[in-house]
Amino acid sequence: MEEPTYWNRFWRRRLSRRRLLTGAALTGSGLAAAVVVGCGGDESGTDKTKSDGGGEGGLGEDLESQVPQFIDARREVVPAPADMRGGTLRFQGFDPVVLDRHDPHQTQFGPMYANLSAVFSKLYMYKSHTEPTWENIVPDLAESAPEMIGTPPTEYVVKLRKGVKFHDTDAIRSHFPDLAGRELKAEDVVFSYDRQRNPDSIQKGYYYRASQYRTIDTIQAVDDYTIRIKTKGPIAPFYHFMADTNAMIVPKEIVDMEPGPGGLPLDTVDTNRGPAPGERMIGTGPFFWGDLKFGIEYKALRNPAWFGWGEPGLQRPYLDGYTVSGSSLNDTSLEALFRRKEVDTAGFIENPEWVFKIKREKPDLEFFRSWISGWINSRFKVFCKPFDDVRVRKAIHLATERQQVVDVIGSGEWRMQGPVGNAISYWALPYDELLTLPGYRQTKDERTKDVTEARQLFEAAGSPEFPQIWFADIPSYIPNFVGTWKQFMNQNLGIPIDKLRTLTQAYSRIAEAIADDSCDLASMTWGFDNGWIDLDDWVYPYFHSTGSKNSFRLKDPDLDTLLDAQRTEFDYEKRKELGYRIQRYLLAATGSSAICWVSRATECRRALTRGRITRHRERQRWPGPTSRTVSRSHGLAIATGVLTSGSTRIIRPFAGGRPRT
Amino acid sequence: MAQEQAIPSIGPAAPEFALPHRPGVLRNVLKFIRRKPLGALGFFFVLFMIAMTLGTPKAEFGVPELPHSPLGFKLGQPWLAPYGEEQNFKNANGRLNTDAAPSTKHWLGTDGSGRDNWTRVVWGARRSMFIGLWALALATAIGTVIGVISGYFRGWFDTAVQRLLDALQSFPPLLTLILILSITPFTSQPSLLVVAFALGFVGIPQVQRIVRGVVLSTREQQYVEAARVIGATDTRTMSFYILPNIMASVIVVFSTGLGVVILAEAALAFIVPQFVPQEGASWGLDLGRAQREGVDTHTWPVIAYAGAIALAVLGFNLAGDALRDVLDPRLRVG
Repeated sequence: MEEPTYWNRFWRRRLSRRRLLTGAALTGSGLAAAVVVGCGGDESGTDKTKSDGGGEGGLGEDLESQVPQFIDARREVVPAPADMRGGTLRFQGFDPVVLDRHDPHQTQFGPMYANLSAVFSKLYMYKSHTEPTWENIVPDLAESAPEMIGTPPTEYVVKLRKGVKFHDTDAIRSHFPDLAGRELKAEDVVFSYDRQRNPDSIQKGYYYRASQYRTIDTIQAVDDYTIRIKTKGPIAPFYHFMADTNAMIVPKEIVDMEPGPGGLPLDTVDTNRGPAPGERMIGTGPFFWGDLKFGIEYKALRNPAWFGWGEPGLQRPYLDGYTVSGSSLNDTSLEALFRRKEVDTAGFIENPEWVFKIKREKPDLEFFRSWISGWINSRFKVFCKPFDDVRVRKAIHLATERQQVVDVIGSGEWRMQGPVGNAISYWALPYDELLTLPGYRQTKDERTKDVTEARQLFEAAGSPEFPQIWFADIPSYIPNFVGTWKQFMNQNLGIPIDKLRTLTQAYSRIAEAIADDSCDLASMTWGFDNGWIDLDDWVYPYFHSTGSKNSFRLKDPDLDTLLDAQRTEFDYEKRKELGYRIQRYLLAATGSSAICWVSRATECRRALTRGRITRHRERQRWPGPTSRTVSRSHGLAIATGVLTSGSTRIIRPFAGGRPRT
Repeated sequence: MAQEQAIPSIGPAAPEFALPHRPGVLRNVLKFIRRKPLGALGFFFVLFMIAMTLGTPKAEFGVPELPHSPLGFKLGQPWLAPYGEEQNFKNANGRLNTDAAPSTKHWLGTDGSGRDNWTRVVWGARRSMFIGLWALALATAIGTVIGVISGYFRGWFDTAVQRLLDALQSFPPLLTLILILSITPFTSQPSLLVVAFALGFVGIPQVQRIVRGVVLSTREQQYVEAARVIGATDTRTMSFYILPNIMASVIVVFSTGLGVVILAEAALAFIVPQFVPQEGASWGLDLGRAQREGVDTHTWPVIAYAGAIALAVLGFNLAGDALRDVLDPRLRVG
């Protein structure tokens, strides 16, 4: 009798579900193995990283030559026909991920700036993305450039546009009947500036630009449309201060001024008394605050009564609104959404390849590429061990593999940067010079020299143990990078990987911790930060001993002198040179000023594509030869703004009419 | 004389009554492979995965910590891992060798951070395996106790416990897991032990349901009845008469459950990476990263990690099935 072996039974049995699944799994495994074995390659030919960190790869010369310049907010436009509207623009972004306050003067979070900048206006604004000079500051709520009195000026007289109205909707009327549709007056400007320089406010710790407003000696409303500001002395960037990120004009009515703790006015929009903070977002900007679902979606709606920079014939804003989704912020999802036409504009998060691929597939898509003024940085509490030792800070500075940061996080499409972001090319230390400095230079011999010095410094400091290092939880590339960071710290400083303790935390928690004097909390952090506009923004709040963002608790009289000097230097070229000196001083990492620019290295170079907008418009029956151009400028502006902090000047363009082509 | 005839003579046993020769281990293994090739394949995958977790122990003792110190002593670099967990590689240009295709140096290529995929798979096995073991240990221990007590006593206690666990089971397991891990103290300080316990908690209803079913039939066996007759207490009956006789089922539940838990852990890390510790190699996390950054350019990491997960789960399922066939007399064939 034949032995009942497995195979005997195998051929006699019916094909059961279990057998089918097992067979399929085995076949699949076999095929996968075959693919693995059959597709082997040699690593010598697999250099996918880019040549200089500038990310030239992947796109091809033909596309490189098509890269447009940043589209100017105030470029010449022609009026849209009365019945022509732009519809609702849809994109993915961090805008709904609001981890900060709603109050326009008490926030420092990039996505929140993006939301606020569509709702609130300022006296002045920048029209250029890359050249933040006086020449590129243009009136927003102001009628014209300020009258500057004195040489150098110490007094500014600003005339307001007449007829500018605060938002007016049914909801606003129900909560703030006196404010809805009220005309903006000089008193509103005085209130907005005064509160940020008030040393007695219980919210003073949240006025992140307080040092700007504390340069004001007096501010008064001469009449309903005229403001006179006297500064305590000549302040070179004061004109910029009026166009800066927190210079939004808010009406007094939306601020809760009822007594708070200690009997002082609560002085914030973020209150749990009366209307919710979202219902208090009432400004004079081109869009109403629509709806914010935390982390999910933000909607802005067109303000039909917007003052439109005094050109009502252009019927700005062109868009009926915009919707930003905060979910699925990864390259795979973005590509899928873009291909399915569920977003009108998109850019890469970590891996630009899909952007290049789509552009190659569909050459008619609009493509935009620009530096973004955001950066990844490390912060130390310089009063905490071991970071109170300049040798340790300098060792970390030199040991940091900035090029690896660029390669891993930005797929080579980012760039190392110094104390001022490369996007702000006017103030940033020239990139060529940066690449010659220790910690940044990248030839093999130079890198070896830097790493050797780092090791020597660290050992001279006694190879101290690190406290727990806090990493930000978003964007996802930051927690993803922890392993690589440990690896280069291990390789270059000899710290065992298991001695490098890390913790991933939310920004709100990190912000609390770095403000805390305890060395147990976040004495070293690693995260993303907004980029800024003027030289003063990048250096003064962070490194001046009285700076509002000086969480390092750095106190360096020499550095303070330099930082004060740039504030009083009105000659642009001389101020620029002062800016370089400050940056070189910081990067030299000597003396007590050695805040090290660990991974303050990267600045993203985003490739933005969009172009479904055209079809989106066509579906909504707004054809016409100019629709693409209109959409392009608006879409790009928003997309860039979303990914940029300090984005007021950037997000504003989509309030424009049709550009003249 | 008659008596003498009644007593059988003691002499060499007739050949037809000889005790069968007990085959050696190797022969048993070969027989198993021949009769259950799929089960053998499953055991091969399981053993290989166990081998991937093994490393030279270090003389560092302390509180158990996942994944590298699961029993209180630290395990060194896995023997099968050619490189360090985070070690990255550079190309001839001095830049990170990212997303490289397989080669003799990197059998499964490199990932977006220039790390060797095979090395990450091996290191990641330790995380998957030990989380699975901890989770299953918890689920099996608690589920078995609940199942035995519930099935043994029946009545209102059984009804109450079963309805409660039915209610718990009515939630999709992954959602329950996310719910547990989204509790603030866990999110602010994610820990693999918490993940393991959460996975174990979610597995309890399934384990107890199977155990209870077996207990319900076992408690009716005559040897259990005999135990009661001779005055054994309930505790004694459950501990010494029922539990040993349901161990085969418990072992099968454990072995098949391990695959499920490994899959659940990978799914959790893939879907909600923020709720699990993001340090170190992890099949789910690494697969998620590669997928989110684009499968087109991160093909090899996707193949490596997805393949590892698939083969591990397949291995545990096949091994569990074979184990069940071997341990359950009713299913023994041949």
